[in-house]
Amino acid sequence: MNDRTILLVEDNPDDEELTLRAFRQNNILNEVAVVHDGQEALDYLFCEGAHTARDPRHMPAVVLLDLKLPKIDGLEVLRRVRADERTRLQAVVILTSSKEEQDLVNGYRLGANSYIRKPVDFTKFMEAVRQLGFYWLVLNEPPPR
Amino acid sequence: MTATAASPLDAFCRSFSRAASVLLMLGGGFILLGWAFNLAVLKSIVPGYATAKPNAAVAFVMAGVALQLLMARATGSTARGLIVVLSVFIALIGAATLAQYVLGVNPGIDRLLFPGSPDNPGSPYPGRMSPYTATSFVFVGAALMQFNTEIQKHARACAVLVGLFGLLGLVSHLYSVAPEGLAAYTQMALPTAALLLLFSLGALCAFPERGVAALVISRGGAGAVARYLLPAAILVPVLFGWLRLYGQQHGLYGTEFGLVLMAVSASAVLTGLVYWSAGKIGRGEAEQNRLAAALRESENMFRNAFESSPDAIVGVNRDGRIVRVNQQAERIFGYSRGDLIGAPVEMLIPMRLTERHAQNRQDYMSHPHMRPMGSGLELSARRKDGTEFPVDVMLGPVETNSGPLVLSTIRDITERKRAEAEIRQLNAELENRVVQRTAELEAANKELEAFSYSVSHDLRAPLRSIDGFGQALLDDCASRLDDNGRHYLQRIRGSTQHMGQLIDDLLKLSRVARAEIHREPVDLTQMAQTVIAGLRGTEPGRQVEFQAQDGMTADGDPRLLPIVLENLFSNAWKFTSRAEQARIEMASFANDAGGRAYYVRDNGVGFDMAYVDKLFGAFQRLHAPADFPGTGIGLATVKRIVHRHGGRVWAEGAVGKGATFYFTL
Repeated sequence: MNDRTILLVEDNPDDEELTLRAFRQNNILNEVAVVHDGQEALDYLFCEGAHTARDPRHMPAVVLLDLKLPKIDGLEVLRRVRADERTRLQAVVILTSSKEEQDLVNGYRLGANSYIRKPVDFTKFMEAVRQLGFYWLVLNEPPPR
Repeated sequence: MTATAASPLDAFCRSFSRAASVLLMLGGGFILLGWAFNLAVLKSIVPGYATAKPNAAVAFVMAGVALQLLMARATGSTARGLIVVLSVFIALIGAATLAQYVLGVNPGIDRLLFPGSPDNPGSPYPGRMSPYTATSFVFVGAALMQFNTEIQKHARACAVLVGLFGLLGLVSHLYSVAPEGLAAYTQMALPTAALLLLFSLGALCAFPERGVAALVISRGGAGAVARYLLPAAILVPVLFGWLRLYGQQHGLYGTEFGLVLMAVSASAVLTGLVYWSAGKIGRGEAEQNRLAAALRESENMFRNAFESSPDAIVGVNRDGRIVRVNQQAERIFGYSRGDLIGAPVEMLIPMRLTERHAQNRQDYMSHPHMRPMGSGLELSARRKDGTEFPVDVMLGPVETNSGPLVLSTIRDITERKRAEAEIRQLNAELENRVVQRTAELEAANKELEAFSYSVSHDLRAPLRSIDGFGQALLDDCASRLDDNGRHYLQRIRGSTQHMGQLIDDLLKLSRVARAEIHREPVDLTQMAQTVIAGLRGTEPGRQVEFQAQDGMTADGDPRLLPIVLENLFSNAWKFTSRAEQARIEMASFANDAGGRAYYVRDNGVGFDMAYVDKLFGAFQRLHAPADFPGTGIGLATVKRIVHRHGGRVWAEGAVGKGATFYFTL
């Protein structure tokens, strides 16, 4: 496909593994960076903490953001990303178990580009990941840097 | 006897008196005119009769003026002085004339006026009034003087004497009696007699509130008797005397028999009058007794009511002293009647308020009227032991012979206050409890929301893992599994997916339970068509005939009603899947309660009415999952939404003959 990376923010190792598997099975071979809590996600995006060495010019094509996260929850991460000039235009897709109305409303209000609910049925999940990858890595034109 | 102030008789008396005074002046004036122009008619009415004398005429004029002044109730010293001068002069005229008779002198005072005008021929003393007249004028003067100084009792006696002299003169003329002895000197003239009588009556009527006049004009039996008996007592003897004389003079009977006849007749008439009067007085007394009895009865009733009143009643006089109390007053204040009577009422007022109460009491006394005391204030009273208690007080003034009295009706409201306080406290407690319960409920709701959120998130994650890794196993290790192994894995995945569905439905149900209802007009026909279109989209291959009544509207929540229709229609859709010609319809009708009921009917597999009660319970299913998939939560959700709208839901059906689900909103 291309050299764009995907940032997966996921604390559940099962979900992490299944998501990566889904990418793999859908032949999405781009680099998937995985962080396990909200703080690490912010460190990654702002090249801080353990990710100081990361090239800030190389931003992920899309951030797949879970809402229920240790330390800093997903909505707060989204708020900070949108508040910062460097990441204001970053594509963020909420990928979560919750279908609570409140989460949907808050997610969109804070500027999520999309909101996807993880289905229990893995077959459907595979389909979701396939479309996600195709859309954000191929179809979508990222904002110019 | 006290006369009623403004009785018409009273006014009549005064008017009569005024007229009499004017007539006296006119009469005197005419007599003087008669002398001036020698007119016998004016001097003696009947020519040849004794003449009224000029001095008498002057005295009558003065008496008229004096009476007029008295009538005006003049209080000025000039008027008073004038009356004194006039009375003294009148009395002097009488006294001087009498002196002439007694001393046998004639200094010429009789002819002081009109010395040339002739008197009747043969008059022993021309121009001199009769001794009776002279005596009368002494009394006229005395009467006027005393009326002036308000020694009215004697004044009235004098006036009565004057009247008697007048009557004497009149009757003498009536009987044509030639007086003998002293009377022979000179006879009282007819006008003089008439004017003397007029003066007597006028003077007696001048003060109708007292004396004979008061008696005559008084209401009730005494006045009535006096009004009939008095003229009768005067006229009857005169009349019978005249009759006797008349008969005697015409030779009907002799002197002795005439006397007998007169005595008996007069006795008979007077007896009749006395009998009549006694009867009248008797009736008056009977009436009085009746009134007295009624008064006693009323007094008894009042006393009983007063004494047995559940409220304390305290009568207070103008000076603030207690003059009357009832039993309840003794009871609630703790004093004996003896302690209370005569004591200042402030004894019953809390110390700190006595001063203000005394002030308020005086203000009230200046405008006494029935009213509650200290309206809007919390009133307290003081017992003998100094303790205070809350009271309601009603004040009402009563006029008594010994001055105004204020009756205070005092109610001990300790019990009422206690009950009120209790109610207030209970209310406050209740309010507290409501606040507390509301807070608890809110907390419970919050907890439930947190729980739902947690379920939505955390319960589904492991399911995804099970399903996902199950699939991974099938994908990656298929070659190492036999058919059985693969079948089991499929069963595991089926179950996890079903559980995922269950969780979703449960969350939906709990959301419905918590959601607030926002009613607005909703187009149910449109909504039904949208739902059916969605179902057709999921299974485009199925042929289902659908019919929805046109223009069905309802007043309901536009977010929740679609859930009702989705559940009902998806059930109908599901349970008609084996029907040869599936048919679903929705319509509405007017129900008994006056609202509208709606129904969704299908020709699917139906259900056994024996299990109708289980239909709407959560997780209750009437079909095997293998036949018809489902979580058993859909109808529970429908029921919850309908109930949240205050409506009712019920179902009818038979196995193999379809089902109908009704609901109201």
